[in-house]
Amino acid sequence: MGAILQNPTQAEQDLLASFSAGKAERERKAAFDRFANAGLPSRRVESWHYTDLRAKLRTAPPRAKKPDAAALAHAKDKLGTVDRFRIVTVDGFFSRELSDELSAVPGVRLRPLLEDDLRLKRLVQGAGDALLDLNGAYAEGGFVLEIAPGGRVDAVFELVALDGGTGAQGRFGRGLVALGENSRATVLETRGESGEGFSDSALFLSLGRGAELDYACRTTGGAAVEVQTIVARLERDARLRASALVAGAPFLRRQLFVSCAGENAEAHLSGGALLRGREHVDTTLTLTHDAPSCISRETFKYVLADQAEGVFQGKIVVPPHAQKTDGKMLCRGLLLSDEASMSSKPELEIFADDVACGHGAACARLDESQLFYMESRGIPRAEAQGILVEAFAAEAFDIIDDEELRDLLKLDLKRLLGTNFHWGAFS
Amino acid sequence: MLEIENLHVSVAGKKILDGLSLKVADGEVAAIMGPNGSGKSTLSYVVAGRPDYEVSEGSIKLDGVDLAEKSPAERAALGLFLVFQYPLEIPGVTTMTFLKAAINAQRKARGEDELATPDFMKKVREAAKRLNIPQDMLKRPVNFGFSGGEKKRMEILQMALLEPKFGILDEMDSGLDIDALRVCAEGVNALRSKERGLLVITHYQRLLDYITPDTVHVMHKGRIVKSGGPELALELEKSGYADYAEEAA
Amino acid sequence: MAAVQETVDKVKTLDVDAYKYGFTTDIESDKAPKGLNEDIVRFISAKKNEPEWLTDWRLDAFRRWQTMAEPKWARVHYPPIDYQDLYYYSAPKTAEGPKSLDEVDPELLRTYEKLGIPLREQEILAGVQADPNARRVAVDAVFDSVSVATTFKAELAKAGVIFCPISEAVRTHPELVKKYLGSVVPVTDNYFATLNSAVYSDGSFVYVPPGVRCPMELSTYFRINERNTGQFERTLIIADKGSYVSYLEGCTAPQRDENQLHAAVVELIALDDAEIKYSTVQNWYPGDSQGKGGIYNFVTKRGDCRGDRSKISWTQVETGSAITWKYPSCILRGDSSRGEFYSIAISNGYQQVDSGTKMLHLGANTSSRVISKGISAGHSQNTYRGQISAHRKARNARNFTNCDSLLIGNSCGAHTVPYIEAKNSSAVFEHEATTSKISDDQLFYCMQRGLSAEEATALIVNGFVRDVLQQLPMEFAVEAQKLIAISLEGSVG
Repeated sequence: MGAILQNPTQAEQDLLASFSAGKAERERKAAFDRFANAGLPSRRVESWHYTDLRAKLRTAPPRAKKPDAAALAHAKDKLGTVDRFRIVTVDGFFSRELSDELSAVPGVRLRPLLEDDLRLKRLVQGAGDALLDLNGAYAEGGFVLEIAPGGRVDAVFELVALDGGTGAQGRFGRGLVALGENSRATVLETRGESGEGFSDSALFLSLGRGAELDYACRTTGGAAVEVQTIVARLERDARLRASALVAGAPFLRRQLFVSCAGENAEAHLSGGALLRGREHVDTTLTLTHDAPSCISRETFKYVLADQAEGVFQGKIVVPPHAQKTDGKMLCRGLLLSDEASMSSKPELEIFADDVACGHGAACARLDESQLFYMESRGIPRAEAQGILVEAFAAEAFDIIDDEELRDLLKLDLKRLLGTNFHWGAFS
Repeated sequence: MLEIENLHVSVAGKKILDGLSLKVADGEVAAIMGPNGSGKSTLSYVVAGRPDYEVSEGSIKLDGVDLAEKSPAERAALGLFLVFQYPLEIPGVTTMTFLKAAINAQRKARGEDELATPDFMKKVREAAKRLNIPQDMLKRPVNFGFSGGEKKRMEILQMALLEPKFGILDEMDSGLDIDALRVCAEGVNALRSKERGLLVITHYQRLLDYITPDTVHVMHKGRIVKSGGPELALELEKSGYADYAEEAA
Repeated sequence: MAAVQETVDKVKTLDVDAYKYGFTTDIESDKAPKGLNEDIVRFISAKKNEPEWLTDWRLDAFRRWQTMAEPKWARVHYPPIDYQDLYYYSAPKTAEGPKSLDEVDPELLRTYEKLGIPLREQEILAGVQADPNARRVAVDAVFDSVSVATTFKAELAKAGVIFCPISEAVRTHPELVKKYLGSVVPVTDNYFATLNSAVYSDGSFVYVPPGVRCPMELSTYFRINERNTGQFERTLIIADKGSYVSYLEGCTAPQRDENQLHAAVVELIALDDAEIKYSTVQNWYPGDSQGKGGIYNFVTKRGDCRGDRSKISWTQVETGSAITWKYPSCILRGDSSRGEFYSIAISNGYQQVDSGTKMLHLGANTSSRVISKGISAGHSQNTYRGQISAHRKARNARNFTNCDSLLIGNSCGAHTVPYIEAKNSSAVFEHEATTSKISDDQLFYCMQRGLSAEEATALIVNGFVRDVLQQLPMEFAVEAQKLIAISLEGSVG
């Protein structure tokens, strides 16, 4: 092994140097080796074409340590009271102290993540990416949330990612949500780590036969440079509905690797992103239909103000054996400023003939005739803009089945846009 | 009272209205008839304040207030309402949300309190019932996927709820079959009052069988070329617009 | 309906492996030695009696080419090409260039006759062709690397239109060639274009003067004949202010076991208010049903809408070649300029197609339209790759893209890779893509009416590509329709 990279950047040197190979488990070492071979992706890597992480991440901040008492106290201050089961990580480390006690909840188990977890291994194999490998090399203190077969939990689980007030650090959160056969759960992830440093988190979703999961991630803020990876695998008849609300992230890459591994699985993915200033948000997803008769739907909405850059890359892959695939993908950008930009690359990679796949991509600004119509009814222009923008973005959350979760996302969106619409320097 | 004086309007450099003058008193129902391209729709848009319509000369006043510098929303708050010839579809925004935003924005602009939700709902339901608008239509996005008749009924519903001081109906009859036309016209007639002026713009006399005007104006090449009573409409029905074209020339 | 019937008849009569243009012509040729080096570049330039500036231009390209690497991003796979194992120049052996058609080797004329290409303008003028309504088409025929005959030159000259081999234009209109050659596809644009710049031997040159509507369709037929010969033609079309020209391009090659390399460059320039319509029916030998042989088609085609309100429209029917790597593009530089791309790409057997377009919106109020229909059958791979971008200053840029793919059989692949980049808020881009198979219901309906599975397929495919076929000039549309049917033979199990 060893660094095969030529002319590594300072950040790459930092990242490679801090790995101590000595007591690392086999999987961890393998992940590190893969990263050491690939390095940080630049725009020459096709799947990172619009997000040059190698250029963006000049230096890698020191890796966060397991939180001490002070760090835990800092994080605890940020936790309000909510009517949800919370699973808390601080600087990427699962904190049992700050998390809710779940042992009394029937069919639910919460415990530390072990790298030799078979479900995890299978999920990692299904996705190939340097940043996922980097997470695999460095993440410690991950967690597993398990729902037993047949388990149905009405309450919402909330995964809360906080920082310990430790400033600019490298944070590597890692978690696995595993749903047993025919179980059902609703999971909300709230990312509230510090606005400094570098974060490279990974969340694995394993859905057994007939399992059903509503999942949504809220990112309002985030590290200076952040990568979120979601890897999901759906067995036969499983249903995944995964959405995301993004706002205020300075530089965020969200990548999703979803595999419909069993017949009749159904994956609905969506996201609504509000960008302003010089924010850069990239959603890149690969949806593999690895079994016949699966359905997938993707809907991504971007609202872009100021000099913000939105990126969407979505790929639907249909190998020869995935006959009767039904896949549809949609990406729409709403440009509110002359200097904002939207790049989209919706891809289809299809090797089976009995399929119905399609994608659409569009970008435009607000429709002047709609605005005039609303204004002519007495709604002031700014308010009319706000209503149109909200309606545009909110549609992304309609895929979520769980009413509580869906309303929560829509309420957050409303709050973010404010009563007097003033997204970016928009007038 | 709507007062238009010597109005000159261009769109993308092309002159559309050429010195149009018109007065419609409170309680009066005035009809404007004219051939295609005479500038009828431009008149309705420019009164409502649509951008890209360049007023080079003249004035528009509603109850003595000059509208020149007013935004479309301000004009609406002053009591102006336009029934669009082609009502816009607004996906994602439910009709209820839209109506509530409009009513409360206007109340706010006039310094009135916002309407409480139960009062608002009651008001909408009652108005909808009168226009044969089913409740589930109110839950759908504004005009989205509505038929031509449904869209026009929704326009009249909005007019009923917003209680304007002055209403402009731009080719309300276009795209309506006779039954839908009757329902809409009844809705409009119910809104006639001695405080409220209406301007009915139409190509055909047919609409005026249902909404009887007090005055009729013939428009050609961007100006009013003849004015008279309801009998003028019947005369036009027989002789067509050709005569007026010559008069204007 | 007649055309459809013709398609159906064609399907009936032809065998699976019938590539009807797969004959070779036995003709003496004048070849450069195998391999590529500066001497070969000089040899080609000398053969063409080129001025020094052009020799230097070629040498510069060659030197740059040596520092470049073959692009790898396309979804095509082929064994490494040994560039030293090719002939870079081959010309039919005649003492001097033919002064009239009578001096052209009769073997050559017979070749073009077999291809159905009318070279004998005298005959046409004398009314030999029965149909008085048949449109006249001026033809430039390129055999291997050399232009052998150009018809209707005199009549075109009357209108002021220059239509001649580019090697001739270098001598007769050096100022035009010097001004425009390489101005759309720069010497270093990409690996294959750079190679072309170094070794191109001939191609067509068109100049339409201001305000002139070219009185007839212009057409070039390219034919590869010689074994192990690379064909590197270069086409340059300039439509001066307010002019119009429609240009057709057809390509064929003999059936051979080994692969042959074709790397052409086409540059189009439209000045203010000018319009260029460029249509291609590409029918290079696709290889046999086992994937042996066939042409490697690595082509750079680009149009520059340099003037305001100019328009460039590409229409292509791609049925041949073992590998197609081709992205006819438009640079929408002039304000209110317009670019169009209409494409049918059919792949069968072991063909690999990676094709699409780029529409680069630079000027204000520019618009573009992309309609792409991909059909994959057999073991082929068919990729649409496209880029639509609006520059910051491209106010009110508009694009509509529609790319549909049809799969026939489950051993092939259809892929769509669009890049859509809007860099200002006034851009309105719409993109739609679908991938599906021929509906069983449609097939059943046709078969119930008495069509065989293959006939029904051809019929439905013709319907699928109709939007694009309509963009082709009449004569080409009929030919294209036949080709579609032939290309899909053996695809229905």
